Amino acid sequence: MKVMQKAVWTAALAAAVFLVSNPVFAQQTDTASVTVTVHVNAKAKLTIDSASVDFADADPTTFPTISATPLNISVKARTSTAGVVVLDAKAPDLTSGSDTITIGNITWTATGSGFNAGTMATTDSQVGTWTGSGNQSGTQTLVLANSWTYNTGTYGSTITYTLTAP
Amino acid sequence: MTARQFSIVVPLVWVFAAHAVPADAQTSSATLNVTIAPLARLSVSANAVTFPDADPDVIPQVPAVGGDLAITAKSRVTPGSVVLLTVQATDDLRSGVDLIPVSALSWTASGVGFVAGTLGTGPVTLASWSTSGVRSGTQAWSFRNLWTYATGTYSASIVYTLSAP
Repeated sequence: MKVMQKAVWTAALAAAVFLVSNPVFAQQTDTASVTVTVHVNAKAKLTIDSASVDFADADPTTFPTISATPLNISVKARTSTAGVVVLDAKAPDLTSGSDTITIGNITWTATGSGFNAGTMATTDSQVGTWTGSGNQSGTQTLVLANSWTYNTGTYGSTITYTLTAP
Repeated sequence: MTARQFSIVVPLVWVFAAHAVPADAQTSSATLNVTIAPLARLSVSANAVTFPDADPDVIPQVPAVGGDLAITAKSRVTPGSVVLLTVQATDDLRSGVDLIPVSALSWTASGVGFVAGTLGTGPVTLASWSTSGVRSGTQAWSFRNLWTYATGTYSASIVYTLSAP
């Protein structure tokens, strides 16, 4: 019995010594907080792959319309979630000296999501519209109504495209 | 008479007794215990990081205004364990109902033990070490700039956690 008591006490003492010499520590942590702020402002970027459009001469009877090489149009816009992005185009009448061809004789077809067909005018006509931010791309093919009534000449005009991201 | 005689006798006995013990070297030992518990201290040089507006085509990765964050991590650890510095966002970047995933935020880092990473809503390792010590490093935040984000001023909170097991 005494031997057993001694063994128990010895074990208890050994355990106590072990605990004192090998303390169990809790994991320590420290933290820091940082606030992040990101500014995203409205922005619009329009890219058209060609700065000129040419219509070759053609027989009005054979070619009542003349199509130009399609323009590749890239639209990038940042706006609010419900913001409406609009791409417009306008141009003055085609002129050759004192001769003119009404700009309404130019129409277009279009491909690409959000792009639409239309007729050129001296005031803005819509080429495309989208809701929210993003990248859009499409093509616009300008078409000239070819008429026997036009006076001969080399006519020119300048189309102004306007991309708006509110 | 008796009391006076007694007071004289006692010192004599003490002197005698003192000389009766032979001189000897005395040694003793004392156990010195020092407790070094795990400890962690973290400091970050700024409590705000700001990204300005920029053209995504020109600056696809926007660096934070004000430059890099300086980070100092001091830790005491149990041998064999790993000191870990993590970073996580409490939520995505939000501007009203609009959000940008926090994965749009990433960092490069310099300093021993520091690593580059991409922010998430769970802990992401920014640095780790296997011994006690004082470590310093820098963290350079950048924001992935896309055209698809809705306009707004977005914000989120980032929590840095240094743990020493």
